[in-house]
Order: sequence, then C-alpha cells, then structure tokens
Amino acid sequence: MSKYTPKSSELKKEFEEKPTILKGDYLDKEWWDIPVEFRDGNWCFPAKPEVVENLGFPNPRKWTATDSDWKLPVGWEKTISEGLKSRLKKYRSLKLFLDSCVRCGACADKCHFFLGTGDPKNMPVVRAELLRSVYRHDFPLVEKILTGFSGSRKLSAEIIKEWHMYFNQCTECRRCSVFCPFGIDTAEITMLARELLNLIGVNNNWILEPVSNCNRTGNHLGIEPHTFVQNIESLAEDIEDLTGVKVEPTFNRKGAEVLFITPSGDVFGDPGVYTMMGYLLLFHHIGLDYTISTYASEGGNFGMFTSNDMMKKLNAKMYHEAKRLGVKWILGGECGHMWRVVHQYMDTMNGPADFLEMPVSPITGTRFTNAASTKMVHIAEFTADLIYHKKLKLDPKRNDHLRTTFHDSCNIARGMGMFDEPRYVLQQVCNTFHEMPDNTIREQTFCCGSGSGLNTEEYMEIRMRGGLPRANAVKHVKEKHQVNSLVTICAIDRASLPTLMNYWVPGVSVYGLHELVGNALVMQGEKKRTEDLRENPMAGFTKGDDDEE
Amino acid sequence: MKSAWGQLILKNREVILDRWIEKGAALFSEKMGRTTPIGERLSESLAIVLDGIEENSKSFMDAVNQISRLLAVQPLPPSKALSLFFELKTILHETVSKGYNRDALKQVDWDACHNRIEEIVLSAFDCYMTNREKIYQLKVEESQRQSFMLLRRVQA
Repeated sequence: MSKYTPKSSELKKEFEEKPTILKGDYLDKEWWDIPVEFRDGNWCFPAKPEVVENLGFPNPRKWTATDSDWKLPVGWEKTISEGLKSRLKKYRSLKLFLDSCVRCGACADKCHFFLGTGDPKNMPVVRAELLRSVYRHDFPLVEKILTGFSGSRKLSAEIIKEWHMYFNQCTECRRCSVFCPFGIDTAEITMLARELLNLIGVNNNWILEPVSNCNRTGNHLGIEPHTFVQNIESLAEDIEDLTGVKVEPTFNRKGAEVLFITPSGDVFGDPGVYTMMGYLLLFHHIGLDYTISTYASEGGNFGMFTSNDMMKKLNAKMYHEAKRLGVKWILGGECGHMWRVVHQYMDTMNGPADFLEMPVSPITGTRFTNAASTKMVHIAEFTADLIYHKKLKLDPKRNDHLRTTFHDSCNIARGMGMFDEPRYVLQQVCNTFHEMPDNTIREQTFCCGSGSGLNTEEYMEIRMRGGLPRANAVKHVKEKHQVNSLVTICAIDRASLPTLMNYWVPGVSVYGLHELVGNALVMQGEKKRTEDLRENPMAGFTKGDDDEE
Repeated sequence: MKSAWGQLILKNREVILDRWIEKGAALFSEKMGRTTPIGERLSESLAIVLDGIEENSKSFMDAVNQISRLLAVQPLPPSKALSLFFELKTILHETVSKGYNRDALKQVDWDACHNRIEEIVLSAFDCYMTNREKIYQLKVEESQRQSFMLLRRVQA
C-alpha cells in the first residue's frame, strides 16, 4: 500500500470536520431545499424575441428571470423529458456521465464559481446533480422505483429556474473534470442542460444574439463584409503609421494557400485589434500566401453554448468557405472555445476535411500531423515552429516595458492540451516572464469567469466573484515579481480579463500573444520604432536612439 | 498600540481576530471557508486592519478597501455587508466580559474605541461606494472596448 495513503483515523477526522454537501454547514437542509433567488447581477438578460425568431428557436417572447411566470410553452415538461431521452440515446457520454458519478466530491472545490461564491450548488457535483436528479426520476428503472431514496425529483418550473441559474454559473471550463476520478466532463452536462433549456425558450441573449449574427453574417458581432474589410484595412494603416511597413491582406481570394480565421473580436474590440495587427505583421514578415474570408469571419462558435446542431452548423461554415476558396489548409487565430470545437468535436461533426491538404508550413516545411484530420493549425504552434527554425527576426527588448505572466485559456489548455507552444513564443519575444502558482496554470488553469457566453455586463458581480481565483494568482505574481502584463490566447479572455484585472488587480494590462510578437518583429524596411502597437512608449527606445543593431 | 483599547486588542489579538474572521465568513450565504480565495483575502485584510487599527496608514486603508471590494460584489445589502466593521465593537465587549480586566478600560476609553470604529465604518462606506461605482464604470469601459472600431470610426 502506498505510504501516502491516509490513516483511517485521519480519514475519520476529515469526514467529521470537513464540510460536505451532505452534512456540515448544510446539515439541516437538502441541497434542493435551498431556494433560487434571482436578483440584479446574478442573471443574464434573456434572448430578444426577434433573435429567437431569426434562429427558428422555440418560444420567442419577452420575459425576465425575475418574473414569477416565465411563460413556458404548453407541454414544456414533455419537451424536456423527451429531449433528455433522445439525447441520452444519441450521446452515450451523457448517459455515462449521469450514471457514473459516485459523489466523491473531488471536483467540489475546483470550480472557480464555487470558490468565488461559496454556493454549494456551484460545486460541479451538485450542479450536475440538478440534472441528474431529474434523470433519476424518469429513467433508470431501479432508481425510478426508489424515488425518494435515490435523490430523484420530479421536474417542475422551479427546477427549470434552478437550471437556468446554475448552468449559467458554469463557464464550461472543465477544471473540475481534471480532478474527477471518472473523467466526468461536467462542461458537457452544462452544454446539454443549456440545449434542453433552449428547447423551451429559456435562454441568454448574450449567447443567442451572437449565434444569430454568426448565422446571418458569418461572425458573432454581426459585422457586414464591407465593414470587416474596412476595419482590417484601417488596422493596416495603423501598422504603416507605426512601423512604416505596408501590409496588404487579401480577402476572399481564391487559390490562396492558407485561409486565416480568427475571432471577430480581433477586428472590432480593444485589445483584440492589437493582436490582429500582430498577425498581419507576422504574415507580412514571412510572406505567407493567405487570405481572410468576410463570410467565415468568425473563429469563435457560440453554437457550442446553445446546441450541438448549432455548433455543427457554425463550424461547418469555416470548412465550406475553405472549400469554396480552394485553400490548402486553415490557420486559426487566438481563440478559446473555437479550439475545443475544432479539436474535440469537428472531426465527428463535419470531418474529416478530406478536401483540404495536410497542413505544411510553407516557411519551415513542418508537417502538422496533429491536424491531419481537421486541417486546422493553431497560430501559437505555427509561430513557435517559425521561431524554432529561426525564421523570424525578433528583438525582445521591444517588450521590455512589459513584465509578463501567461494565462492558459481553458479550452486551449484542457480542450486541446496546448501548454508549451505559447510559453515558448512568449519567452522568445519578451525578456521578462513569470509563471503564476502551479495549481493555477496549465491543465489546472483558472477560468476568467466569463467564458461560455457569460461575458455580459448585467452579470458583472457574478463574473467578478467567479474570476477571483484567477485574479488572486495574478495578484501573487504582481506582488512578487512586479508583473504588469497578463498575456493570453483567447478572445473572451482579452475581452473580459481587462475588467477583472481593473477590479481585483489594478495595474495589470491584458495582451494577446501575437500583439507581443508584433511588437518584437523587426520588419524589413521599417522605420525607427519607439512605440508598441498600442502607441505606448517602449522602454529604451526613445526617439533619436537607433534600435537597429 | 498606544491606547488602552489598543492594548486590549494587542493582548487578545488571536481570539479577537479569529472571531472577527468567523463573523466575516458568516456573512456569506454558506459559511465561507478560510482557505478559499475569498476567505484568504478576508482573513489577511482583517488582520491588517486589526493590527493597524489606531491610525489610517496606507496599509490600513488598503486593507479596508480590500475588504470593501470583496463585499461590494456579494449578494448582500450594503448595511449587512458593512456591519462586519461594527461587529468589532461586539467582539471587544465580549472579550472584556469573558475575563479581561474589566477595570482596564474606562468609559472614556470605550468612547474613543467606538468613535474610531465608527470612523472606520465611514471609511469603509466610502470604499464600498467607490467599488460599486467602479463596477458601473467597468461596464461602460467594457462596452467601449467591445465597440472600439465602431467608436473610432464615429470619432473619425
């Protein structure tokens, strides 16, 4: 027996003293007796009726979570019951996840929402139990007979409200799954629960409006093709002003070697646009034969937070466009959940993408065999490969005004297992880098608290509470190493972490990885650089100094 | 600690701090563990406040702000959130009644102690409101960042 196995006396002590969902602080109440209370700051606005109609989703209406009557459609109980039944049949993983949990509680204190709110229903085990208890009431025969003893309960309108609250206090980050001895993916339970809720019109506007936009215009923000082009051309002008280099991206160009797809936040929002400028500089630097589509103009996929069918449809758009343009392969930008969709679901939803070629870097000749089926390469590994083969001229001193740490985006880290490539790139383009504590990075990374479509302003208090564990880790490196820059490779992180930092750790700014690459690139024919891509002065590069060695 | 009531705190620091942290944890809907991120931040900040309670030093005010920042995003009415600072009065009185030399503190000392705690509550209220306003400011700034290119075009 392992010498690390605890003694029975230690286990007894832990059992008696450590609070659990079944005793301790919750001794007098069953978890389902704790009431659900919607109040300002803890619920997201429901989808506008026109958004629901545009998507052809059921039950468009005006309602809010604080209403006593949610205007659920006639026969909604049957819709949920049959919806669950059909999904149990379709997704064996769901049945496995519902049946196999032994409620050990290993996941309980791993969830950032539980750590930040202390609400027991935010323990992943209990959050899943919200659905599991209804499943047990209707499905496995033995448990159906043992109703009342097995923790089962009959579906009710109150349960729907409870689902809406707590399945929207899960960012599908999967940190809990890392610690689950059975590998239960609570994120998938959340995904399925949200899918069921959408069947009866219980929804979130910040998710469905981007889905509707993407369905119509090709990107979450609803940017029309001409505006999409104008925005990127405007960023190209900024690059020329700053560096003297004219980058010339092409759009919808048939026959290009590579189709580049990134989240639309990178062409519209701050600080994403600076990351976009970094991409454009990089592609110009290496002379990449690439094009950008104004139709597949979104890497993100909010369909993942809506339903499997919608996720599949929005993912398919990228591949249809790659086929139409006749490119060889797809290069994907810094996005989070896009990569979970591509890495874990694309192949069985829309793949294999046999009409594309095995991605090969035209600069280094490296074959990305890991993307042999999806034909889509993550830009961090593409750039890491370029640097490894010494194909980039870099001056990391140009980022000396930044003392960095790296936030592993949940879906990149746990969804596709990429940890080292972005760190390698970061350490080649800047001179100061410090890791946050071990249990807050890599596969144990803490979520920003705003993922999976919860990055909405009316949800700010919950987001600040859910993001506290991440902020605490940043605070640690700020105090210990004077870190002032949090680097990340996810568009939702770039949108939400500035807010989180401003609240909990003022003085820390948020950067995309390729923004720092763009700062460090020494471009052929460039003018003297004194400012970074944000037009902030670079340390030691005052006007009049010669920064060219 | 220079004052008589400060000496009372100094001599009973561990007990007083422990009870104060317990009161803080009890503010949350489910009792918050001390090893959680909230529990740790709260415990650290309450200790700094207690140790520097006689003066508004920078570290003291930072700690008051830290506590207020934690409380400003909790589902608590402001009156309940800031009652944590008033709890210190109760804890001090209970400490005296449980064995500390009753004659050590005169009425004038108690008055000074109460006045100081009330000052701290007002400071905490300022911080709490600043943090609440910051939440709204963050919403505005986030909306502006999300529409960065749109606003840029409008301004151009």
